[in-house]
Amino acid sequence: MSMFDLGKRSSGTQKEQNEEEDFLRKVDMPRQGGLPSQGVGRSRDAAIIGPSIHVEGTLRGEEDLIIEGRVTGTVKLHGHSLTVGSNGQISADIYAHTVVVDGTVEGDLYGEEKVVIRKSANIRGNVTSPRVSLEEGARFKGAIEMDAEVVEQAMGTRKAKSAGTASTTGTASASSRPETSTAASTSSASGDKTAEAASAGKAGSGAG
Amino acid sequence: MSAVTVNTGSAAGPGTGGVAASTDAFHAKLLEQALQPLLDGERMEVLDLGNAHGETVDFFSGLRVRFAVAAIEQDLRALDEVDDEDILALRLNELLTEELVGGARVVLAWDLLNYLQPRVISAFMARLADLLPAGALVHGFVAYGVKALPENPRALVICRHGWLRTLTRPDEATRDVRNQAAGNLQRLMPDFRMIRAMLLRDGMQECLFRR
Repeated sequence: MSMFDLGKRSSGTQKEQNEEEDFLRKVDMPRQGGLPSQGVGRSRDAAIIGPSIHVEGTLRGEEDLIIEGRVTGTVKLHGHSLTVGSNGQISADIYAHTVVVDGTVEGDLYGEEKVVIRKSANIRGNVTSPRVSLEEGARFKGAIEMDAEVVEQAMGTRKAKSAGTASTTGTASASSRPETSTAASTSSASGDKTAEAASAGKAGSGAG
Repeated sequence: MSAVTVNTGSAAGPGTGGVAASTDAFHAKLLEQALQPLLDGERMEVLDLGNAHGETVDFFSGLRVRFAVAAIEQDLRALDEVDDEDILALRLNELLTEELVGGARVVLAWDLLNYLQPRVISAFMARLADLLPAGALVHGFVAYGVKALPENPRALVICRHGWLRTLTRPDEATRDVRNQAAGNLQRLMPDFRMIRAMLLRDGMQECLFRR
């Protein structure tokens, strides 16, 4: 189901392989409590970017996604949930229906429904969402925009911008081009960020 | 202002990040006053100089607010070691950016002013004055009738409108108070005017400064 199937990978350093094994143990464990789509408990229903994978560019998808690896660029999962796992390191603006952060994010977060910041999270960036929760102990530096009007405006702008933009080199699209996506994942594709992504990031900073 | 005890029904548990939930809440009337427009439906931009706390985020959730978290308490305290005034100004410019601070109508300084050297307070407030609009309010607590303070600033959270609660750190050491009389503070921040101060039962003075 997942285009970022960890089982397809066999290379990597010993450290990466150990991380991968730890990760696989975790995703196999049922998770108690929490939202159904916000963690490893539902990982079998969501695409996964494993801890040794580095993606550069615009990452799009039409399914839930868990990131335990590194992503640089932009992540767009409109209508779906994104979980940044505890190993995840994101240097990107993120657009999703629900964003759950356990790991590290440098960039702006746009949650159409909500953004959940867990206690292990380390975020430097702005959050725009109608609902934001932050667990005690989380490290956060940035602004949280909770004004419903401003949030809707920001989301509307995002949707309008993303709707008219096609994927380009270095883009991983979960819905339509799984072969491209897998290649981008496993080879640490260093595609160009789209101009749209760059402008969206700037607009995002100002939106807060 | 008298301290009261409320039963929050919570105890330290998962997600408390090294601090335990205190059950003592106290009424901070000046904070209530500062944030009242928000409760009346106005949009506001609020800057928290302390660390992010879930309970405070919960309080602001659903209100028309841009809540900026600077998380610079430790960074500001480290400026005590900086002797060069130019470097001090440069560091403050890095810590307090226009994107983060600009437009804030209320600044939550918590206990910070008790933990900074006068020269750092002066430079810090001058930087804030550069970024804040006229009429912006800075809210904080000043040690007035206390002889010792916790080694680190209290982790205060807004538990409901006008009410604060301390997240206690276990086995916290204390330090002598670096006395900041209101008059002295005022001299350190010529761009601000102390518009109200209230002495709380624990000896702290709740203060409101206007840009």
